[in-house]
Amino acid sequence: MFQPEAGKTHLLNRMSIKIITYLSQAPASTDEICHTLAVKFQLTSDAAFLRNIDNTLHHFDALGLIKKVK
Amino acid sequence: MTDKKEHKQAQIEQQLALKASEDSLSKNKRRRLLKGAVALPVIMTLHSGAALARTSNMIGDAPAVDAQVDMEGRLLCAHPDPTQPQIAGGPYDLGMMPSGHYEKQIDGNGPISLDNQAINCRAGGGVVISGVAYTSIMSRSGFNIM
Repeated sequence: MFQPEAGKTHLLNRMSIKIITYLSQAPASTDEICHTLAVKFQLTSDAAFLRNIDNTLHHFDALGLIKKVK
Repeated sequence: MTDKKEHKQAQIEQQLALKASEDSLSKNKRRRLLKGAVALPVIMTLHSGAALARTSNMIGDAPAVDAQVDMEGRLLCAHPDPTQPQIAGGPYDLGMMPSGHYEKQIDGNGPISLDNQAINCRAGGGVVISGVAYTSIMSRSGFNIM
């Protein structure tokens, strides 16, 4: 995925693409994102899964791909 | 101990008790605030929807020497997608179905150099695509040569 503002290209896995696609439709909470991904990829939305998604969201935030809604 | 001293001692004890009570209240308030802050759901959104609403088939304008060229020495000229917003100077978005055409390598005056083919490509609104970019895009999205 190309990020014109930063002039960077990011290589994303399927789950990351799903997160970006989901957030491009509407803002969402971490819980909502986790639930959607768990259903989509048929995974259990346990604490470890939530932590992984949270880490991914932090990375996206640091890269300037997403931001927190105030 | 005189009455006056006893009264003073009682006042000090009362003030200390009041202060301890205030400290305790203040700590409780802080705890409530912290707890409240953690409990708030964090809503995330895309940093800039417009910036990300682009395909990954982005290319920069390549120098003629790096251009994708066929066996006949014709330079491949890519077409930026007219339905996508394009940035002047690139990178250019070729869209979901990238396309392009080969430039003429010969005319009535004889062979046309790669540099001149690149000039002709750009003059027609095209973008010179490098061999590396062409291979990458071709393997992912295909490339329609008109």
